[in-house]
Amino acid sequence: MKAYRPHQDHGNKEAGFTLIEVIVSISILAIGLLAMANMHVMAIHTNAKARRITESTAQAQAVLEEFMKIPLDSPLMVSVSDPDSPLIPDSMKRRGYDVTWGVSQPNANSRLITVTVAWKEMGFMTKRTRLSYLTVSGAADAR
Amino acid sequence: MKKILFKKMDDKGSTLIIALVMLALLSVLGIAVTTTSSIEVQIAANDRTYTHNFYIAETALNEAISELLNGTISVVNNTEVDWLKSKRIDPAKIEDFKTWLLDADNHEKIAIDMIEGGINYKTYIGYAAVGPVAVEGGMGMGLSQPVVRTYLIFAFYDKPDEPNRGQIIIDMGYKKVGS
Repeated sequence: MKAYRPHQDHGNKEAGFTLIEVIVSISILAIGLLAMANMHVMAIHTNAKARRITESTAQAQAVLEEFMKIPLDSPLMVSVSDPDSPLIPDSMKRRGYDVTWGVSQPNANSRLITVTVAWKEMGFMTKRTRLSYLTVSGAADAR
Repeated sequence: MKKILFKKMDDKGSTLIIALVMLALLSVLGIAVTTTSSIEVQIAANDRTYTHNFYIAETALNEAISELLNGTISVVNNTEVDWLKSKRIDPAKIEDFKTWLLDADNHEKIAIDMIEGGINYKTYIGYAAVGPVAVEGGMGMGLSQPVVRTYLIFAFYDKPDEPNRGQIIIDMGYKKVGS
């Protein structure tokens, strides 16, 4: 009399390979997904870098535009690295950017203003955005 | 016959294929994301270059105004140049206008040194003034009104060794009151 063995199937010779196959597939997928996750982390960092370039440009521009409003002989027309300066708009003060500027005098009737916005990339690399503008006496009032 | 073929088409090996197809799709997605963000950085950097060059070009504009106020500027009186029609720049002639403006005979470089980061930008920026394109006021009907002359001022930033990077042309109308 033949014994009844429900789990033995002599017809299918590849029975039991499916588990190995699944393990191989999952490991390949896992390695691939890890690489992909890395790619996305990199993309996030790159996007953050782009954002900081854009923000720093906007901030330097904002300070430069403040300078356009003040006359050449204003007491504010000096080189400053004060984070509480009235020329830095309030909305910019808690953003992690270091805003400084230098004012030089190419001649008696003009001032060269250089605004520098510095920040740290990945915690240690210092990056800068620098904008320069030259005001000429009379021109600012005439505009 | 057909039935036998169907019987042989089982699901053996499909897991790996599905995994590989998924991986390929995700790779495409990942590459797209990386490309987009690196383009994003380029856009941001280009915008920064543009802003930087714009303010430098505006320096030339300032000097042009100051010279115009002092009356020491040499203005182009011929408003009949072919790129300028009815006191506006004809958009179809914009290339002609650029050629005209960037020709050293037609513009003036600024006199003041503009040094930033070791580069003296005064050699890359300049201006040209055209006009007066309109004169208003003056004597008429026994009433004396101040004379108002309208000028067009063009300022530019052009660094010849990087011609396609941040070339700026600013145009401005300027009204001068008085003689």
